[in-house]
Amino acid sequence: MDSLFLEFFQNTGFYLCDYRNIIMIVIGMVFIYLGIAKDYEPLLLVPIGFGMLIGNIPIFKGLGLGIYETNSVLHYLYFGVTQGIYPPLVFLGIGAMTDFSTLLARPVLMLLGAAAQAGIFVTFLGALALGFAPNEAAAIGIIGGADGPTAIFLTAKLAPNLIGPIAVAAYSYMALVPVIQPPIMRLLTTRKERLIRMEEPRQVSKREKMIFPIVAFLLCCFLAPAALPLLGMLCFGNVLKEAVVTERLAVTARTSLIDTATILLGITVGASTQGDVFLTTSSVGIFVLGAVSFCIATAAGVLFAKFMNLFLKSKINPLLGAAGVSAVPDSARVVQVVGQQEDPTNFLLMHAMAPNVSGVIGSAIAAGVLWSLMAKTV
Amino acid sequence: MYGIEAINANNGWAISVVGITIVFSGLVVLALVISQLHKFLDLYENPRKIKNWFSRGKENDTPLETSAVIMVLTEEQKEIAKQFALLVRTMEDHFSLPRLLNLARISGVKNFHSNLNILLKSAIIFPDKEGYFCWDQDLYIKTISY
Amino acid sequence: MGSISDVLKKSIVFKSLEVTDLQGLIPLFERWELHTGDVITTAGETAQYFFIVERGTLLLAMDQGRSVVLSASGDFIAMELLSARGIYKATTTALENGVVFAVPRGAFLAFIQEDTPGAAAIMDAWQDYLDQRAGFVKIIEDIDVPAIF
Repeated sequence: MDSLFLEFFQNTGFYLCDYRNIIMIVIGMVFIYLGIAKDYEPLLLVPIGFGMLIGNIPIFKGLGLGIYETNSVLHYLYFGVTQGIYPPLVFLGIGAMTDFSTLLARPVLMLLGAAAQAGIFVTFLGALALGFAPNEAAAIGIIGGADGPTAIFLTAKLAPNLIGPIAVAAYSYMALVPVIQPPIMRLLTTRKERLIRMEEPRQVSKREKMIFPIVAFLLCCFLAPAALPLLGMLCFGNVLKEAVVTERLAVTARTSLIDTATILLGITVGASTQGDVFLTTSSVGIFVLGAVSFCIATAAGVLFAKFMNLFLKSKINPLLGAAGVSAVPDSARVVQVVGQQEDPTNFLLMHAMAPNVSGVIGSAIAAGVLWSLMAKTV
Repeated sequence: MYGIEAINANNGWAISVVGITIVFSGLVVLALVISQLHKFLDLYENPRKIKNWFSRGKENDTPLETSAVIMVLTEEQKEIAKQFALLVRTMEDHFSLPRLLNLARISGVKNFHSNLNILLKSAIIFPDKEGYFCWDQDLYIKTISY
Repeated sequence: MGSISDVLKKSIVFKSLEVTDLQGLIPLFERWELHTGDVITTAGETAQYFFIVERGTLLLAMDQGRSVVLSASGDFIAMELLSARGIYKATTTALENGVVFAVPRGAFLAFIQEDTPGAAAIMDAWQDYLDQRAGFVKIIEDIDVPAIF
């Protein structure tokens, strides 16, 4: 009987526990805390955080419980991540809830979304310099796009072994947008610039909004066909929204479908961060590069806005450049908050949504470009 | 392999330059297209404007027809403009102004003479030079949202 | 309050007239105050007056639903625009309060039928004005001005 107890004890988490599991469980709890108490991207951080708890329960190998065991339930759910199924579904929902009016009203703000993508390529160079393989470097670089689904999608295609750290890094930095971005924004702008008021955007007609996703899809996907799964779903979702006659589908896409995909994505990505797999030197490198990438993306957007002001008659508030990273809508909210710290009557949120949504398009194109350029090396 | 050597060996500089160029070009082209989109739609909705490009004597247009300034309307006037917009929707693209006036009278539109006059002065309603009038939807939207 | 001579000087139709011609015309005009909705001519009735706008907006409703809106100071409402063969062919309604100067039709026609440089200047200017403001009325009627209006 003693031996049975001993055998059972040896199969419990208490016996199998590794210090790395403890670290990851603590990180998971921090994620849950940040999500619930600090309201940092709760819809992402809470599932990922709890997924970390699930993934770091020490288990007896062979029972078919772990996410990396081929016959486990979690592994089947993780299939949607490794095969890049969930990100396009999330993009469908994003498309069905995004209003592109501000972008259509002032398309020049789209360039800020393009400029912020510089972070992706600078980080790509940094990752190469740190010794990562080109495909891994590309997957790490996309963290600078500040777009979780895009990062997961590209990593699944180029470096599936890095999905855990890259997804966690991407979502962590997205959640930490309100902490990371403001100091950079203040550092790179003068008070006078932060006080700039934007012109009222023109009214956009229903017909324009209806045509936009189709034109954007055709143009972007002809240019970068590899962006098809993400942009195709994003634009399709937006067509459902704007067509009105497909309201039922749009409602499903922006509620049940995106919620289901987000839950499965979050929980499985979290569960993939098993301490022994996750806590490696390369993960540390990915986290450092991710932070750098995010900072560069923010700085590039702000500096490009200042550069544009050299030529524009109607100046734009350079804070908007920070919204070019595609963390929707958090980076736009940050722009609003930083702008209102200087002038509480200056409302920048609506204007910041333009570079914000163009950042989503830009990061999807960047992912498509990197995928097509790296496909041969995988 | 690390550092610059690794970047060079993996063709990193070229990939980065090509990558950012493609992303930028894509978004620039998209921005250019969508910045013109409303103009194309405006022409689609008001084909008369295409005709005007080719017609001579444009310099002789009256101030009513060329007014580019958005008239500021009171909330009440905006509401009445919306009623006129609904009436115009029931008519042809090139509609009869006296008929519109009559419809406004029958429909109980308040101060229909002077409010029609406001729409004429704001150039939301403009003559097609054939004795009929057109509705400038773009200007109408701008005016009521001003 | 503007005078008829000021309005005539602004009018495309009359501004090229010599002072002496203007002095001959001015006594023919009488000033009418208009209120929103006032109808000053009705299609089908005997044409008695022509009008020149000092201020206000007037809608001239013609047959087949066609119409012309006149609102500039100096706009002249006469002949093909307003009448044919002594009958009004347009109903003229004031879209806002305004002022017009009315000239008896017969007296005006008598003035422009005189074989004078002033009359010729008015007719030439009138044709240009009509081309600009309501070219379609000439297409409808193709009236041989001034003989048959």
